[in-house]
Amino acid sequence: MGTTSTISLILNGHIPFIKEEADPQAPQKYWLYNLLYETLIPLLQTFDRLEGDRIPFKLGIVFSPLLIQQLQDPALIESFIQFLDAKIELGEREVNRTRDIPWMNHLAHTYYDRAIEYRVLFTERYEKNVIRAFDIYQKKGKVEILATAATYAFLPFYTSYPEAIKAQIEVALKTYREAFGRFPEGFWLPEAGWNPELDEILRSYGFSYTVVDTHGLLQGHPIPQEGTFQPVRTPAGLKVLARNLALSRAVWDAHEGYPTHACYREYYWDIGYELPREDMKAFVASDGSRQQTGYKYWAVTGGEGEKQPYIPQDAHGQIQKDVDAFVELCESHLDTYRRLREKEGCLVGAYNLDLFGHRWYEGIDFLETFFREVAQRSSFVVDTPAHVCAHFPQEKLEEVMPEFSSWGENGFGETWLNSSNDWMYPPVLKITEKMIELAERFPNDGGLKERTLNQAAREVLLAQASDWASMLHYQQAVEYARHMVESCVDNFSIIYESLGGNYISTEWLTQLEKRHAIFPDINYRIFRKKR
Amino acid sequence: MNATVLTGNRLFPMIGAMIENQLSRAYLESLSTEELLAVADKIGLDIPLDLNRTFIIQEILDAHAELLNVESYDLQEESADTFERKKNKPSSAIYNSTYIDVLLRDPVWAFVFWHIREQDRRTYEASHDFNGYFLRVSSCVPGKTTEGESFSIDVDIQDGSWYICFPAPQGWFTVELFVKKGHHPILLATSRPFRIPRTVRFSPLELEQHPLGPVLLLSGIEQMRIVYAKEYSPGQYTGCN
Repeated sequence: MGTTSTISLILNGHIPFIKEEADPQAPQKYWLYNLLYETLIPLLQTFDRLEGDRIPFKLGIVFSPLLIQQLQDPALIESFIQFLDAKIELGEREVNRTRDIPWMNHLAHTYYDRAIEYRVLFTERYEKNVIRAFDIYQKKGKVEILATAATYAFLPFYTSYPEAIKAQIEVALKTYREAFGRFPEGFWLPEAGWNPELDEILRSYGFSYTVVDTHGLLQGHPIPQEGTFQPVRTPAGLKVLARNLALSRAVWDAHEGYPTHACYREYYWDIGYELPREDMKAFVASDGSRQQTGYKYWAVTGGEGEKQPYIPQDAHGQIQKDVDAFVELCESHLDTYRRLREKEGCLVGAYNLDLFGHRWYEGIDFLETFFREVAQRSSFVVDTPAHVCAHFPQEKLEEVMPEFSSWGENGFGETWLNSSNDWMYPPVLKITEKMIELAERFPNDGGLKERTLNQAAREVLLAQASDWASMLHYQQAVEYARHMVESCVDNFSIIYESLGGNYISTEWLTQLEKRHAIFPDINYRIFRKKR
Repeated sequence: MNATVLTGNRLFPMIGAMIENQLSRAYLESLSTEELLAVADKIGLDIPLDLNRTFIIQEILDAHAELLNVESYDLQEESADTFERKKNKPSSAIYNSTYIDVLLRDPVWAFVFWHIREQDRRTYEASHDFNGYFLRVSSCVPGKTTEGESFSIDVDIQDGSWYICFPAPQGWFTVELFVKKGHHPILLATSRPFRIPRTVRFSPLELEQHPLGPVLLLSGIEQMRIVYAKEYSPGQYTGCN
């Protein structure tokens, strides 16, 4: 380890598969629009500013293969531009509507100006391709982009089927290589879901490290001597970093985390939920549900009183206080560790990307202020997770096998396996098993049969996405989640039986390929047993 | 100052009629927050002003289901129907085999699910000495045939899955599915061996005396909000799904 303590932040970016319906106003498409508008564009803009001011910043970002492909989908990009235009149009009306309420009018102007600015940034500066823009920062060494499983499957549930895990990883590697022209160093475990069976598999694909949640390491075998302050080495030779609990809670805790402060902008109070629907046409989804517009005027406030107006200056002042607290938290942990072990340590803070900007409006400002603050201090440096790992020579790391763990509720698999979603696993695991069987049965097939088998592989991967279980558990977009699982299982079943009967309807297949158009160059043989 | 600055005061004549009919999540999501609050008020719900709309919608759905004395919008019910529909699809050869599988949820609970080939099931259940199905959970050593400790759980002929609570804080197990003919069990399927993970919970005193105590404390070992393996207590090992 070097002579300086290190902080490494990792932002986990992923959205579910949203392309099934062609309609640009399908409700799930707003997930992508909001992630782009409220998180990705402002984050790139922040990187531009930090670089312009020569502020050193380094961090890790996860882009799931589903997110990468959907961010580069031409139809979705065009829909997003329409969304931007609708924001601008709404802004004009909001500036007019709020003209008699000065504080509200000031916010309306801010949002309106931002919509125009982001449209220009997206279409001109980032040339409608934010993935490429982030890759530029990766090439500059400021950002490290981590890979993750193809459809963000919760991998511990698939350890009976190592071929399925390998298929998730092979598709992920291909997508990553096409997007970034290189191999990733780090593998982000979907939902931080780890179990020891993943060790050999991840190492066999050349990943040098992964990240587990705090308890995954602290419950490891043996208990690590350095706690979560240094990486460990698994028996297969994978380096493992652990998410630091204190850093996670400070930002992410639903009750005490920084975003809960009364002066920050309230997430749920949006004019999309308030104004007459005829004025909100672009923000009413095709199923009739109202969507957020981003025109939000109220602060979190807290307590049971009336919501207070959102005052950006107050929020900005609070950001500085929260960054100070966060930096002091880092320093106190690293100082205490140094005193205890007479070594420099590292801390990993890992969060969902959409927390910043989307869920926590001021979150991007928090990141920028954090990097600016760290630049003025000498107590620690920020670095990418791969660089942090590289500082620790393999042979000097303690060998520890982390224990089964995740960052879900209660620390294991409960979020993705409970009475709301357990019905999906028997059919999903069954089609997984049958896909492996098909790949073995038809090793060298081409033509229409190969095309059909490739679609079968897509259906299995989509069915395995952890998103559906999460959505069922959290009761969000429940119908869509259930529909996706059912339709993927049904589609696979139809293909399986068609292959048995040696009959395939090309019309049906073509329609399905359009509906579930993901991983265009997939090769179903990724499901074959490796010999 | 409140939301009415944005919306003005409006009346909702359609709400009365709407409540008479079945409310759906999709319909509620199409309403403004103010309209949602009016619906909540109409059915006697006291909603805190700062409750977010996701929770308001769920509260309304729950309360409305209770009012009409109908099945609630309970995901489990919906999910079970879906699962039954899948499982009973006669045309699908994929699902019609006999197997048992296990997903480990946490150090305490595993989700066990199984299926019996329809033709076999009919034969077993039509037999004069059919005496039900049961699961046997056995500790094991992977790769070895030595039998360890075990316990059995009778399951209903309608069951297709159970959550099983594990008494031992760690170790390897398998679950077997049997049919009983008279008093004779016949093995139908065996799960792969699976491992219940270890969880270690230190008391404050143990941490104080542990050589790694200070670093573990600094790493947050006392604040982890996780499920810990239970100490053995007879009778705690099953939960029907």
